Amino acid sequence: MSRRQILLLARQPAKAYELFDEMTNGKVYVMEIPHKKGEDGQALWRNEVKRFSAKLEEISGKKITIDKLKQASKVVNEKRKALQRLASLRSADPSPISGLDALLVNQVAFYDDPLRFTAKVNELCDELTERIKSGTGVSEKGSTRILISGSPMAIPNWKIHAIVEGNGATIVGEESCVGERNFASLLDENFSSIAEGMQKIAGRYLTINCACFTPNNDRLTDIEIIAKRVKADGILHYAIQFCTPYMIEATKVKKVADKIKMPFLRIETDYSMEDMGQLKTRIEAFLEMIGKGVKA
Amino acid sequence: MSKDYKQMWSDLEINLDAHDGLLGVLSDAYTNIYLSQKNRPEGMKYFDFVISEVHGLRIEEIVEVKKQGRKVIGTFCVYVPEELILAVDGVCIGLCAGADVGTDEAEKYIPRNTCALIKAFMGFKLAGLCPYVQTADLIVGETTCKGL
Repeated sequence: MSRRQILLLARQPAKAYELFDEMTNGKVYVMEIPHKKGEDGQALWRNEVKRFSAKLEEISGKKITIDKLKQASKVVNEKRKALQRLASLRSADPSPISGLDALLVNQVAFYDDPLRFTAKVNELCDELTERIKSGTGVSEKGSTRILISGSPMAIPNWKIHAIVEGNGATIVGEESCVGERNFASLLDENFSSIAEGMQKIAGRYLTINCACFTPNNDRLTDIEIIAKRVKADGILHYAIQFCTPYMIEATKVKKVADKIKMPFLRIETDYSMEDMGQLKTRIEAFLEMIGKGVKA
Repeated sequence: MSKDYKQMWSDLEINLDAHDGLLGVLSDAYTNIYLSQKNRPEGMKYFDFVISEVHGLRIEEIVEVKKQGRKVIGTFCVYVPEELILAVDGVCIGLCAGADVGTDEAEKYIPRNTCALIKAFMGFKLAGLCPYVQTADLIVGETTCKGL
């Protein structure tokens, strides 16, 4: 099957928002994301960002000023830096925090007050720094370290983390939108006009490497870099069932794992408890193989 | 939760009985998965508290800021520029959902073989179980995947 044929297959009509708009009495506003990141795609997204800013001004009755934009940029960047800090502290062996706890922090990032959240994450990171100095971890030094990569895990989706860590391994990173793809890239706060700020904002957001883009080779590079940074012993690729872009991209992620001689397990699942037994068996076997130094 | 939020939830048109059920299930899951962990950092207590008040205190805060005229913007994917929302004193809330809730209701509208995340946010809304959607003044979706 050609790449184009595969992409057309993945192209179900984008209808959920239309239905949701009816269900919410017209509250839905759609932003058109390009599928390619070339000049045309960048121009489309810049326009969409501009249009969105006008919509926000309309519904709020407030004008976006350069001061407000700069202040807002700083707040969001500080949140990203706090999450980056948390991510980097998980590189220690043993990790000072469980994957479950780090995932929870990343999930709460999406709905807590940003200033308070950032302060609390930094407090947590101060404590984790001390833990690292004293060698305090959540599991033993040398226990198996797993990087999860793929579809996002929205709250309260804790399913895979619970299984992996219930087996004594630690998840030391998430290459996902509730994880690295959310906070990896900072906004360049050096802008001197609203127009310049909006361009930088548009540009920054298009650096996020979702599998919805084609090509998406930067995500593969990111996975390799993150796996090395967090000292992963294995990569677990996670796709929500029917999430075609991630399901298809898993094949490419496996090639990266093979290239860097990293054990790789591919999971497709939903939110239900139906496949728990099967998942536990597969994950246990995967962790055992890593523990014995056998490649998956 | 520390307070009785029934009036607040009722005002937001939440299905109270089903919602109590949901909170019970969530609380049990959290106890089993999170609170059973050994040797957790002290700093996680704040996040435990946030979860214990997931539909309580944070919603109350949001309801208060709405009274000041500030707008609540619900978002799906991570492409929505949070900076712009904050620049108009808005509140940015992620609406992606991670649990099978309202699946039967959602499947009346969308196929069974749609990703669980999409079914979940629809299900939460249709079953009257998401106070965050109820507070949103605008809900922003990006045309990332084609299911959305």
